[in-house]
Amino acid sequence: MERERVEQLQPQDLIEKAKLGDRDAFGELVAQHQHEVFTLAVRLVRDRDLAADVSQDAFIRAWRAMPKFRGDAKFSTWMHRITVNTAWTHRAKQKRMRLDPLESMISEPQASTLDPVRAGEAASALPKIEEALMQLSGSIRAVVVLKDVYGWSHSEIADHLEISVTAAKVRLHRGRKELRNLLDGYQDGAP
Amino acid sequence: MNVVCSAIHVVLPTVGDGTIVGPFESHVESCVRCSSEADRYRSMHRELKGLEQLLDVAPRGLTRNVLTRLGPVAVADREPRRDNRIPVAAAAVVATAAAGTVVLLRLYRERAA
Repeated sequence: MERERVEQLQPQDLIEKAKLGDRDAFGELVAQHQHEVFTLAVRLVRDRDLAADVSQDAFIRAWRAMPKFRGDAKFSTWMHRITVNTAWTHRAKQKRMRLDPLESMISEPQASTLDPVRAGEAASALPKIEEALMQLSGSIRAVVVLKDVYGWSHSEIADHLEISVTAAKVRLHRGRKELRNLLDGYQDGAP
Repeated sequence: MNVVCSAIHVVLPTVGDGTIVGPFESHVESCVRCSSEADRYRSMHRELKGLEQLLDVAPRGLTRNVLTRLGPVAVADREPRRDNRIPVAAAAVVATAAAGTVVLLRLYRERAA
């Protein structure tokens, strides 16, 4: 009954309740935003298991920071920022462990780890652009994803990835060029 | 490929959406190679933007897992903030000093009486 009551609330009401510590309200926010958070995490870290961990940690960070959420940005935008920071923390940990799956070039997403919907379509049915995107190195892919998919500014990207604005621009230039060449290869039937 | 074509090929990845304006605009319109290249970037830009709406389905149980891992509300915020501790300590010192002064004054008056 409580669950039904919470689900009927408007997003703003859910946020206000979650800020006051209402777990059900926060659970509903998680349910509503889990797919977009998970999708962003997959695009950043490529590995779906790691992306699931990143998503969970991002939501837990969000829960802890809920009272600080002022509502200047949309909740989804705020969650995107937390997800990027969380993904980058995981990336740094992986680097310290010298096991960096982000940089270990996987030619394409593995069908066995795809969710039922995507697995049913098979990896080859992924949009070519997404397949190509997954072939970029982690640091370059992150910039292209945040700028061209999610429309972040150079300064936002630089800030969240802890790089300079110039570095963000250079990576974007390289990433787009690599992507264009990869897509050209697809047209020629190469990869 | 002439110098202008080379320059445009360098600029296109920076522009991103294939739109070249300014002095090179007319060249792109008239050059088959450059207009084709601009079209590729334009198409790529459109496809990348379209990915925002294409969502992966999160693993089942993600919401449940998050809810089971939730700690107390806003753990960080419940802890007294460091910048609040100094005024509180200062207020305590002042209050103690004031109370001490009152006690000493009373003792002094009692003895004087």
